[in-house]
Amino acid sequence: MNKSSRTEAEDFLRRFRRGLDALPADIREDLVGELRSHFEERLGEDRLDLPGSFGSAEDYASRFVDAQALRAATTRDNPIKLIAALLGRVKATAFVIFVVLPLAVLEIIGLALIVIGFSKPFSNSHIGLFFGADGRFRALGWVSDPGSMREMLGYAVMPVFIFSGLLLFWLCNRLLLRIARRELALIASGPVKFLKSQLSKGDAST
Amino acid sequence: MQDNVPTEIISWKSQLKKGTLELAILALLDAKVSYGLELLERLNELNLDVSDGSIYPLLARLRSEGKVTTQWVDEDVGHAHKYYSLTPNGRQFLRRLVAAWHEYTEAIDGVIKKAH
Repeated sequence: MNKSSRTEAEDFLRRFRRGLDALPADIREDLVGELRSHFEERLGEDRLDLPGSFGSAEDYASRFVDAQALRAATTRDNPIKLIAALLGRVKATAFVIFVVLPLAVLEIIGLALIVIGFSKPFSNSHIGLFFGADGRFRALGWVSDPGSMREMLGYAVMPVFIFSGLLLFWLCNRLLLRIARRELALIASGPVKFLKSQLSKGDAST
Repeated sequence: MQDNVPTEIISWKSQLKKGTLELAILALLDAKVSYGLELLERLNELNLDVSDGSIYPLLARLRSEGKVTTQWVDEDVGHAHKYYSLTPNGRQFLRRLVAAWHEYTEAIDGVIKKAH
């Protein structure tokens, strides 16, 4: 268990309060006050473990904001608060649409590049870097009807496609993994301690 | 494959705990008005291994749903505590949860007995 200091507790509370900005002031101060009381008691016992028990202050605050902001907005009949609360919900959807989906599409493109690279020997005239008769760039990759286009790279296109495909796939996969781990940490900041304690019990008994 | 079994069991127990923590908290509050850390200590005394951070979002939800109500109390010694107690609505909800829990565990026990 990590032991957190009073300074760390104060810093956590400051960032927690900032994370609750979307909530009405009375609810925000009530939550901060409750957490302060908890921290005081744990500090007195020298048993405060902020990273292990609460995760980051911002992520912890977000666990209150979504639900509380929506409920407060629907009960207090304040259109500005209602829009702010709904926008908070949309943020998660926007993240999926503008970050996760493009990364997934790029990952598929990376895979396609690898497949196209390996397919070159079987479809030589359809795969490569194509220029038109006028010398202008036409296509890179696979074309169904090359027609009058000229392929410029020959078999050199294989390592180019395979390497760039692997690189793109690897990069996108790393980014998606980081996002997934961050989400997991957010969801499981509670159950993680339970899992760790159960695992250590298992280790001790074997 | 064998090595995965304890992790799977731990994960299953964690899911079970997530679904039943609300019932456990309401039942403890039915017995005694308590503040967050007090509830946490009692849950952990009963081997539920609840982390400090996981109880407050749940209590905040129960409060906003009108199942519990809160009151700040200045203690004679130390700092103020926010005490939680069940509302009539929360008490009624707890009765239904307990009935549903008994019904469910009896059904699962029946399945296990039949299988053996």
